[in-house]
Amino acid sequence: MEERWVDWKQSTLFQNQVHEFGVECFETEESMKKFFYSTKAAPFVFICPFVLTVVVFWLLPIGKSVMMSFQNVLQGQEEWIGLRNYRQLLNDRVFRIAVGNTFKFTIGMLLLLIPLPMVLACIINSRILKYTKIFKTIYFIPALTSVVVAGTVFRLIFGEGDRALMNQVLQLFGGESVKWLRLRTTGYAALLILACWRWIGVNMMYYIAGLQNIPAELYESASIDGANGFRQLVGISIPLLKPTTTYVLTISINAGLSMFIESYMLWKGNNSPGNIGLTIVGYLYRQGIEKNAMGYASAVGILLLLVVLAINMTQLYLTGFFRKEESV
Amino acid sequence: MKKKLALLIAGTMVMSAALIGCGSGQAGGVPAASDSQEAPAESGASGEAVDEAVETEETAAEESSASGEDVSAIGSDDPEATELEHWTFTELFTAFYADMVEQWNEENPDKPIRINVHVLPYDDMHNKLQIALNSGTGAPDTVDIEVGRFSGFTEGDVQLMDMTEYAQPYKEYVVDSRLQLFSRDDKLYGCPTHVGATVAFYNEKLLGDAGIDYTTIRTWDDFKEAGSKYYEATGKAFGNLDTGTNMFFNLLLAQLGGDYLDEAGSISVNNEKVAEALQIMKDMQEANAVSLVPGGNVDADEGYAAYNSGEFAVMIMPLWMSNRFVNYMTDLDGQIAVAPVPVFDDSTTVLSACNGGTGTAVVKTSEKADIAAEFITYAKLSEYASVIQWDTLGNDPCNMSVWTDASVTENPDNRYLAYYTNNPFDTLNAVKDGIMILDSQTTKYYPSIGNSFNTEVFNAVFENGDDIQEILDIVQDELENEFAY
Amino acid sequence: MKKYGTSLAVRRMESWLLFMMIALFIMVPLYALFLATFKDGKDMIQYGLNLSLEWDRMHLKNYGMLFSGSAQRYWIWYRNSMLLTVAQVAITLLISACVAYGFAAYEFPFKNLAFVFVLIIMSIPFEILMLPLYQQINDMKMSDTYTAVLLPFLAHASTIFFFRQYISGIPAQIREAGRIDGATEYGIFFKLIFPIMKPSFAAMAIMNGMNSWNNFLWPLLALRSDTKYTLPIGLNTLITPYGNNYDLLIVGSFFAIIPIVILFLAFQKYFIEGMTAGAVKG
Repeated sequence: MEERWVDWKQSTLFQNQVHEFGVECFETEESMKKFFYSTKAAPFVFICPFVLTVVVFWLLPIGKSVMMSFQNVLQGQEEWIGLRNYRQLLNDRVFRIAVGNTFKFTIGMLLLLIPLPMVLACIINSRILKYTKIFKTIYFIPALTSVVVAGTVFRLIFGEGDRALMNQVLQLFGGESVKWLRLRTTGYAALLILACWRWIGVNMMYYIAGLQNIPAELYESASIDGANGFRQLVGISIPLLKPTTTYVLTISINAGLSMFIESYMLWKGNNSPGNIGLTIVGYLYRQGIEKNAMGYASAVGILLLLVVLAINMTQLYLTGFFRKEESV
Repeated sequence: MKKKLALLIAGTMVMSAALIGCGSGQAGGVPAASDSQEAPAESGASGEAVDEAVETEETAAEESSASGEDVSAIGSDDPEATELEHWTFTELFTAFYADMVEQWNEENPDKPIRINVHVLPYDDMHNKLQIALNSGTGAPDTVDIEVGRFSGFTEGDVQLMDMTEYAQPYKEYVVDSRLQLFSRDDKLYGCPTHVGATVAFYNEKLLGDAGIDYTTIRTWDDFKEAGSKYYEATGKAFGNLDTGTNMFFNLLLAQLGGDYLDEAGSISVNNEKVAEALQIMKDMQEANAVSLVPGGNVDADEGYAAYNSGEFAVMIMPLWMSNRFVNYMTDLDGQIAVAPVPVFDDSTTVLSACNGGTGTAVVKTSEKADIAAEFITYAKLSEYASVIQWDTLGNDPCNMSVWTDASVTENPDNRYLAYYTNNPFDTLNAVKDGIMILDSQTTKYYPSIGNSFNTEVFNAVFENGDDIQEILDIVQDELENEFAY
Repeated sequence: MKKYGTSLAVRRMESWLLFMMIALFIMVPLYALFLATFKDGKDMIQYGLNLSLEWDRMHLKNYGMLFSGSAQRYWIWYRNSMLLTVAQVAITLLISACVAYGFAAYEFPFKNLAFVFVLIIMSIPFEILMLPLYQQINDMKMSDTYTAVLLPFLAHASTIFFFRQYISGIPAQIREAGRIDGATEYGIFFKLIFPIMKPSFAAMAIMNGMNSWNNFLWPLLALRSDTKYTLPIGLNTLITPYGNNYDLLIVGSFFAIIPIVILFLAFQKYFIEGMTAGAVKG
């Protein structure tokens, strides 16, 4: 038997076959290489690492969260309980408070942080003022500060005593000291002021960038036609800023709905008096991390996710994002 | 040009930060420990470290860095020494453990210990601990758990070690309620840091100026009367009404013989005793015997400021407020007298309530659990430990043998004794047999109950004037919903 | 610009007033912080944050403490933040650019669908997945590592979007020319397109640098060792139920702002340019 094997190995037929196999491998390798370098594969290679990250670190956790929302998660073991978490959530008074707070903050933020920056940007763009660069820089600095710093500073500013900064301002106008962070309306105001302080510059920058895409001729021809500043604003700027507004609106809504750290810093923790500062994410954190009720917290997260997706998709649809995309 | 300059500056900063951060991390010693020894000296924001502790730390750090060991460890540099990983949430305790380890190593040269203290943010530390214990990895050997979160770790399969046998030698000297507070089913899971006995702090000077003698205040009725009188005379607040903490409230509830649970042990925060206690406080508020504290909590920045400027004359809080008085309310030096809290009548058995505090626990699954338990019980319950707690941190010591030790109670160098007009140990000895806790404080419901009261109930009743029974019923529903399953 | 007589002057005045008021609103907290760096931590507790210039109570002790070596851990946090930020920005820019290029320069089936899908996924606020992500990191035994801090943020939706717009604006001829010259697809990208994208890199460097430097929530969850803490987390540890270390917190907060402000000032020109070049065209 051995000899037969040795013979065969030495036969040309075998050697040919080996050679051919080698060539095939080489060619496959070559063509794989070619494929790799080709225009067909290149995009996938470019996108690959990113896709992996998205799948592992975004999709998987979301999937897991969906699963956990239907479970009761105790140490080491999970128990499927169907919709019980969601039912409990609907009965949960504190959750309702959190939802109410979150929506109020978001709406407040939108009302302040969209029109005002737009107007500021328009003024800057119209060149009525000189030395706008210094204003742009100053307005942007709050966004550069960490939330920890900003929150702490504002917590001290909104103190209760007569010596706290905000109360001193009030006294300047003849008012009396207010317990800012303990009452519902003033707490709301404080959080809103903090948010505005941080984001007014950023939104203004976005609008400035958006405005620079509008050709100056439009404004000039409008002035020739006799339109004054205000008419120009309404007739030209606002409509043509629609894409910018869409963008700013989207990120503002997302930021508002997921607000947490600002509140956490302002009230030095997640436990504000009467839960006036509690947001949906704050409640998620409280349940999931402080009380270790992962299943329940996941249910909160999933509900928030649905709301965010719904709002974003509606918005994109309404502003024609999908239609436009087809022509890209 | 500008850009290059900016890059240069940024680059320099990175380099210097790296150098300072890396380099001095090696030679300058313990990050957590050495800071806490400097920080108190500079800012006075933490308790003072005894000079001994300072020196010991420095030598220990130098030695350990010389031998190339992990430079954040304090203690023996013996390579055979047991190295303990310890988590805590305030730098105040770092210096304390340094001292304890030093003392331990002296008394037990055959069992040297080195301890690695990690200071994590308060909330975060407890959260991380929970995860670590649940998942079985990443937990430290020993950890300081705050009393309000303690129950979260004693449910189900408890991962903390039972230290009952190690605490035996100290048991008879330590205030029993405190041990009970950190025990479950007669197993001791945490060693207390102090007693936290609730007492009354009277500002003798302010009261005297208004013609009030605090020694005549025996009952809560006396208290209310004195309060009204004081308010009428001066227009300022008398006692503290906190909305963010339930320490005063727990005391009243305990004195009434009530609790947050019913006899069967289920949640019943809307029972009559709770409502009664709230009503009593509300009546006191209306009589101006107690007033809302700025910031909602006496034990916070705005509270200290208010007291320091004389806006309040009386404080009902645990004795560990001593270090707050000495550090933050410096203008009141020499004005404050310590006395037992008022009672309802002569039949009241509860003379004080344990409030606040930290229980130091050992993780069951740690390989060094045994020696850790021995060390921790020593570091928390022994006489020496109690003396250091009192001397350096101003915490009322839980080892009662110290309460009658003249070298401690009459120590002329002790800052806390010097601050008060009378001797706080007199008060402690007077209430010795009546220091209680609420039963509910040892159950798993307590953290949530405490949280609900601190965020919702007090605010609603005292700030907004809501109906007491209504808010209690609402909170009862909420808690039932939470623990429904 | 045409003159409108006095109404221009009036409008100018009004605009000035508006801008000045808002500038005041923005500067006051920062100024108060700056003043507070010269005051005792204890003063912060007793008197709160205010604008008073009490020269006799002001001193340089806090700065002394910061630089003398007693604030070791602060500089450790600083160094950690720097390292993480640089790493994060570099990686994010690189990967985002690759992805954007993939989408902008090529055609492949379901391209638009995929792009929209990606954007939607990434527009989900991080807070929603922080919990399961946290569990996942623990399960993968990756907690307390910088890898865990960096990985979830490898790519950033708005950065990708931004780059894509930018790259779409680059004429295809450049790519064609590259191909004709025999360069590989990757060569084209790295050697031709990259240099052209520089302004957009600068702009996104600021945005991502800013986010990374101030990132608090995720590092808080992912990190455990105090030696690995970044600046925001470290500063947060100074606020405890047993008293706040305001001395270090205030002066430390102030210093935390500086590098980012410098970065911004340096690249400000590119930032505006970059944003104009097509970010928000929609």
